[in-house]
Amino acid sequence: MAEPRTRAQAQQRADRLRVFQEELARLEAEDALHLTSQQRERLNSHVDTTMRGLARDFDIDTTESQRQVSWGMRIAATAGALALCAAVVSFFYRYWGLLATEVQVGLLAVTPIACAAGAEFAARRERTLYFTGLISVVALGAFVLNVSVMGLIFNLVPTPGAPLAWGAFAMFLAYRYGLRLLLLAGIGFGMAFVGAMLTLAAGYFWPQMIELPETLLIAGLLSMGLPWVVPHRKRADFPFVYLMAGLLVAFLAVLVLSTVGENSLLPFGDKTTEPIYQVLGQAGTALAVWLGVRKGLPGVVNMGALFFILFLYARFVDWWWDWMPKYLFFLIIAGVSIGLLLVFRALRGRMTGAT
Amino acid sequence: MKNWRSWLALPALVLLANAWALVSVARNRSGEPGAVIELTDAELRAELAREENSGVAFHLEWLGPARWPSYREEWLDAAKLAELGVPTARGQQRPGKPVFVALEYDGPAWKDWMEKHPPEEVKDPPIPRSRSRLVVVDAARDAATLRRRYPDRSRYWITRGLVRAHYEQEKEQRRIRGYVSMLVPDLIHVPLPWSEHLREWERKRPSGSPSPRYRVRLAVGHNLEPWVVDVRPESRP
Repeated sequence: MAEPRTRAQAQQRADRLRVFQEELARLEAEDALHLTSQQRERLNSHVDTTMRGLARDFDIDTTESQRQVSWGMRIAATAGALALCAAVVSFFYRYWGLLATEVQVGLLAVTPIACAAGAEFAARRERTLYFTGLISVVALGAFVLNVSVMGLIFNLVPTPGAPLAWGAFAMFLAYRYGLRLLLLAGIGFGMAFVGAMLTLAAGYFWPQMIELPETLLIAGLLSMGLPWVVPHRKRADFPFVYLMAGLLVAFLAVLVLSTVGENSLLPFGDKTTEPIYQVLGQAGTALAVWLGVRKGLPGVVNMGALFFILFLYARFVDWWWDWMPKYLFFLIIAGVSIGLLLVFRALRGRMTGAT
Repeated sequence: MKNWRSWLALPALVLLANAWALVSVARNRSGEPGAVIELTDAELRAELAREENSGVAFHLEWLGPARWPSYREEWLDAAKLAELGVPTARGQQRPGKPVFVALEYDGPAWKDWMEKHPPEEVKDPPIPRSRSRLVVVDAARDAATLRRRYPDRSRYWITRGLVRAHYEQEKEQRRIRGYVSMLVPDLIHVPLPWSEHLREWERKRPSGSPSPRYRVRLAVGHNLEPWVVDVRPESRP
């Protein structure tokens, strides 16, 4: 088996070893397995050496307590990063009106560069990358502030170049340090850029992409397909983020189009467009559940199931909410939910049988 | 760990984005401005007293249905909407279409509106300043067409806008109408020293007295992006 190359891979290996040791102890207690003292000594020595090596090279969690503390650190780092971003933006807005334009421009450009340098400095001194992640988020926030305030200062007409630049900045940090939060931001800006360009191509003002969900549907599909075109051998956990972000945006776009067909770019009336997207949404979510089960992707199964139910309930509201007594409406919803529960239970049973 | 050389791509990206913006500004402001127009506090409302934001900006106010619901841009009829390519065939939530619009300052369109809808204050001349005299009088798919139609660069300001269509029930008939829902930009930054002057006039204003009056000289560049050239106080009549 290949040696782990990333912290995530190292953590997975350590987790497997820990579970293996726990199960081994239980099997011995149940008299199902007996190792000789020599075998036991060799095994313990190997596991200890491997764990120490992984901890030394990747600073992974080797115990359950460490793992729980790490989660706390991750949450604290994310909250801290967002709060620090808010502090930088608020500080700038509080004092920028007192500065000459040249000083404003200089400060706006220097701040993201200084933060990016800070992130690089931190990355060279820590293996867990908590502080690197925190400073990287602040750097991205400073760059977003930089470009948006430049637009304000000079009354510039907004261009799709802004989300493109933000996306490139976030992606660079994400791939350099392996930061999934920055990757998510980068994908978001990337999808906004694609949506903006498609909106422009359709003859609209690019911020109107929110009003034209098909542009975001295409952006979501591109995000889902990208990991298949660009292999991620070094960042093995990244394709999942592309897939989930793309799936979320695509399903949201179809959900909006299935309800507000007027906003479609398709050359049909809303009476034709809405049913098209209703069928597409229901079939797409069912397909996501099926594919997720086949490929062993629980995130895709959950997302598919959630949107399957949302599409279904949206139709019920359309058909019945206005005229049906509310108790009957909710009774039907409850009945359908129980029906879905039975379907999922049968599906689960079949999967167990297959296993 | 990767080397510092590859990290340099990051500051290069930041500098490139800023250089791009500055070159765009230089191009917009180079040569003769596309228009130089003098407006007042009625058209450019200053937002000053903000505790968390020390920046000063002018909000663009124009006479339109967004601000004055009874106002109708009569010229934006079905034929004009078709000419502009505004989608009208379907329901009311259809997205608007980006176009170029001509804003007329203190011209026949505003005088005509005031004659038809004289407010009570009009009895006390001069005509009150609480209403903007800036009126959208025309729209086209390109700015050059509008400039040819309205060559007076001190009265007509060509800018970008968003035109939407909606249906109105008039007696037994459903009639389609257009309206300008947004102008881009509708917020104009006020740099130093004028931002400080505006703050100072506001500070010196006796409590209870009306807000200070001022005149703003605004230039509009080749990319239709405006900038403040001068702000000076004006005594209240």
